[in-house]
Amino acid sequence: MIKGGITPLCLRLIAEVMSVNIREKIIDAIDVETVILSESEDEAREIGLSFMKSLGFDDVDVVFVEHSGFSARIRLRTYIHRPGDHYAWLSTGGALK
Amino acid sequence: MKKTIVLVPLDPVHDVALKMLNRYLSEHGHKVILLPPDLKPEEAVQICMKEKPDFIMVSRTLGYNAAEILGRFIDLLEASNLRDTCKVVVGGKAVTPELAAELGYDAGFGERTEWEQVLAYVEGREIQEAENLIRKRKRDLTSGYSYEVRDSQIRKMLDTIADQAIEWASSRVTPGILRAEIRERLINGENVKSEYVNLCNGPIEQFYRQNIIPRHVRKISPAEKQNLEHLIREMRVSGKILQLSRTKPAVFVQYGTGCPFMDIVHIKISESWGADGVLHFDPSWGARCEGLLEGLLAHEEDGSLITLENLAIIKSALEDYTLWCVRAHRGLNTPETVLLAAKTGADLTKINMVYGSLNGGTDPARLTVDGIHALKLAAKYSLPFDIPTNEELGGVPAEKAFAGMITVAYIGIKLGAKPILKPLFCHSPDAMINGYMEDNFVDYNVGKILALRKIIDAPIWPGEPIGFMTHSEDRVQSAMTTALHAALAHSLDLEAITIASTDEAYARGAITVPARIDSLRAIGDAFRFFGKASIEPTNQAQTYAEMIYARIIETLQKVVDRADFVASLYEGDFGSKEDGANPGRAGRDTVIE
Repeated sequence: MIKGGITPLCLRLIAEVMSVNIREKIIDAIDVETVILSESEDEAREIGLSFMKSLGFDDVDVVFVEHSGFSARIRLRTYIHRPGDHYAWLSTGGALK
Repeated sequence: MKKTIVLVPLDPVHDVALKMLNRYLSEHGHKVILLPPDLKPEEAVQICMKEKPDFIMVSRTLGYNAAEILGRFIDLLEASNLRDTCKVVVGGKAVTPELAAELGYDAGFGERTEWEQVLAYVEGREIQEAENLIRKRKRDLTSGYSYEVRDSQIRKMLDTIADQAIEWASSRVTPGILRAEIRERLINGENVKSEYVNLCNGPIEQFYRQNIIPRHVRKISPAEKQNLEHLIREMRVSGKILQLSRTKPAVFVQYGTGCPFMDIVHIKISESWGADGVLHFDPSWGARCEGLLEGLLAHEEDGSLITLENLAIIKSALEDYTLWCVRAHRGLNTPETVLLAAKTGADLTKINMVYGSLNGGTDPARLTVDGIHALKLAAKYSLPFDIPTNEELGGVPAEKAFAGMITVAYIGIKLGAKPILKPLFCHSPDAMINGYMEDNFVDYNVGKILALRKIIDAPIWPGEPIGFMTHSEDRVQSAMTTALHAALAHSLDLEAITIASTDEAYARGAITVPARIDSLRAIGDAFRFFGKASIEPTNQAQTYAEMIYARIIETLQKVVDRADFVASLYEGDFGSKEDGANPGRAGRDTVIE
């Protein structure tokens, strides 16, 4: 389970609401950092990746994971824009307004 | 003109900020009356009536009932006819100018207020003026250095090596030098493009002759450029200063996401979070090709392409105080890159024939000829150049890398250029194998600096980046280790540092902007923590310094005995294959006598 009390559904809804203009505002990536109750690093990695995919992010990577005892600190990343892309924040030319 | 100010902590306990303000305003000659905390508003108003101040400054931590208390205080002042005779100001962690106005106050100062801003308000000066007082200035990293080689034995050796290398190169030319000359004519409007293309090869030649864009490269459209220019105009940078008690070291961020537009966003955010300078990092394949591309080009992998247009748009986005270094140290386009750096307004460049040929992949003879020409260009255009020693990361011992660095520095001095020494602050393979850092990361790094300072009076700029091989994918650990190395440079009063982002050890994707902020934030706190205090090395640092110093002399003596700088590069005097140095092959047999 994921600490913090926010359900994946709730986060997915947030992502959906944000997707209206989030691509115009986020420069490059979204990192999700949390602690997952798990028996191993591999288990935490699996849970973390499934969680991100449940939010609709396909291009996901585990930037960092470290297991200790009964939990793992994990940071997951999905790139909204990679260098060289056609950046949505540039297409309007007014991302700061 | 002296003002009378009553400071009112309308708060049960929080009056620290007002105590600090009391000291600051008093030191600037104003009469300040600081009331004790937890007075009733009525009692505070009574005192104000007696003192007849010009300003009443209220402090209150916003929270339960705060708005009501602050509102009541204003009502009491109005009832006492004080509201018309003095200005009333509120300050506190969550206070904003809008909130202050809503509550009926003349001004509000929040969490990030500088005392200078409050002083400016009291003295009737524009706040803008106060901001200007702390405005960042572009620094000259070479100012105040004599470049004197302190040790006569070393000076004699360097004279011998440098004279031989310069003399050897003087009768030689390369396609890289010829292209730099043609490029200058192209910039001056001459129609000599075909001459340039005749000296290119591989994907660069295909680009010009067949209009084939190299893999992972894309042309940026005029519409994208227009949008970026619009975005740049909207970006406001605060000019945060990381160094509080000391002015050094300048903090450099190395960019090279692949895309000049993404680079610009990284640069602007780094500037906002306190970076003093930036370095252009180009792709490694570009260094192995004869010729440079042209146009606004994005690259979907690490390293941003060096083109006149890419550099020009990056320069257009820089704050006027930001130092800009374009590296030219290791490839087949070294002279031309220095020329483009100069023509686009760079402040610094990077040249090191030893590193570039032993660990950068370029043939030693080729890079010696190109490097010496590039040093002449650096002198001609008054571009100080830094000399990286990243061959240490391949396993070359510091003393050999330093012997190469000092040699290049001395050749540069002889040619009229200004070198900046760039030792690594890193956990190098050599240090690991020999156990130099088993107890701490301080002594060996300090030993390096002491050894260099004993040899020459020149600016020192550890990089690239500091803390190399101490970072992990954990951003807290990574920011921490960068900040500690920064603190060591701060403590040693070094001119500058190049820092890593907290994505330094993350190899599966591009460096992100938050990772830049992580490191800058940590460094700011490290500088704040140490102030004028210093990190104290153990006696071992001096032992390391003596060891490195003696071995630099040994290395230079071998090069003197060989009497052929280029042969010394091929034969391993500055770092052998066993050490982890391998003479490069790019550009072999292209030197023309």
